[in-house]
Amino acid sequence: MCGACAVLSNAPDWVDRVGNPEGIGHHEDMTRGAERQRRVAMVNLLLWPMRMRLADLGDNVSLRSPTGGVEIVAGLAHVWAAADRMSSMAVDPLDVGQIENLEGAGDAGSS
Amino acid sequence: MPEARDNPRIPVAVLTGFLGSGKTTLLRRLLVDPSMDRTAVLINEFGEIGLDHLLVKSVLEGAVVLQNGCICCTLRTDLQQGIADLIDGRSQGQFPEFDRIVVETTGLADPAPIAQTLLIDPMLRNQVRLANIVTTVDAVLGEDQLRTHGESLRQAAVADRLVITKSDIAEPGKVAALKRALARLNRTARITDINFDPFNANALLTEGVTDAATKLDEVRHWLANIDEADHDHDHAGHDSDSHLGSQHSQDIKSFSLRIEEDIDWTAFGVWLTALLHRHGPKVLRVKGLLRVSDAAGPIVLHGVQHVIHPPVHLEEWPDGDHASRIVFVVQGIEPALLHRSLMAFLKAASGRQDQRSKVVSL
Repeated sequence: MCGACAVLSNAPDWVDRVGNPEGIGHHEDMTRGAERQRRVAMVNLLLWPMRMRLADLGDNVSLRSPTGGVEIVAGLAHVWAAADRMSSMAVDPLDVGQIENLEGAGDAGSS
Repeated sequence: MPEARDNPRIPVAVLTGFLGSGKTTLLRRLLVDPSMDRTAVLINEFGEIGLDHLLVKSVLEGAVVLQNGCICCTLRTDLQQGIADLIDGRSQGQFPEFDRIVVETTGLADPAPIAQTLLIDPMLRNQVRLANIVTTVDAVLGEDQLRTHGESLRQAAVADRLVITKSDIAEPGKVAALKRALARLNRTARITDINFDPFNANALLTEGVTDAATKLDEVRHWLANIDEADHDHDHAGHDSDSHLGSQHSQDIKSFSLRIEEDIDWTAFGVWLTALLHRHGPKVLRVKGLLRVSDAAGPIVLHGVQHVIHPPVHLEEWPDGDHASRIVFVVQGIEPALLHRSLMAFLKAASGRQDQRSKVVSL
């Protein structure tokens, strides 16, 4: 779901395991904060090649651009659209260079 | 642990198909079926249907493209208003009670914005659920239309149900060729011949993955067809040029991913939202059954372009194979690249070794 749709709908985020009654459920020991921090870390795997970084602020997250600009975003649905606005480089999971970055990160993590 | 609840909302089926492919004929047959007596219909034009005594309401073609949204954020305002009017009219006693809604599109319509409107509109999504996208295909002209008209190809690619019409006047070989072409284009859709197969209105319109009583059977059908394609692929190899889409500038392909290990739902969700944000218009459908870490039972994933339905729990696995299997119908995306991307992200997110997985072109 892109940012515009999320703003319009306020629909529950289908990825959300803790705060979404329509979600897939979660272990009792998974807190909302822990889930959010995991998600932020995973989003950063896609953002770091753009020299952007997402940080957890509790109810919101902040996105920092390569030039130091900061934008507060309400959730995952809004992050990708915000990244488009703040960087000339687009997050693209099908970009070969970005895939190679991920493969490098995965190899580093498993070695 | 919270459970995703089965959905009590009014099912809305979308009836689409290319110009002259028999949509109205199918609609007429559906509406005289005894099981369809509590059905409201939104159509584009009065006149052809000739069923004035039923609850049939006309909608105008109208759409709004969100200026600040991605290209596929098209909401059908006519549809929003049409359904809102139906529901309001029912609650005020102006319309009779109804249990389901059928929306008939024009022959050139892209059904995806209709599906998106039902899934993301803040009012509609609490009152209705998207049931099946039903696409009629003409047995005489259908195969040619799939090759030459992008609208026809997209309508068939996103369908949950493909209904072959005019098979009574087509050469048998043509019908068989069309069935094979449709099965390769859209492996998970159920294909019915309106003239020669048993007619089941509920199976066409509302039974499926968003229906609690039939969701397991629906997913079982998906998986059987994926497995069949996998088997064919292993034994006969794969010639991607034989795809309808490959002979057409639309370049629509379907393929499945098979992943043996548990999937981290958060990692998968982050990757898929990024993919759909960037390439949503090219991902016509995604359907799958996932084995998710720490989840009770398998999870059904399904979406239309960049909009994902609320995930559906299954209480049991549909078959003895407990691997995750995900089907994509894409336009202009290389299956191998998408597979490589997903596996690289899951590996990076988990820090684990390569997961056992493969891509199967359907």
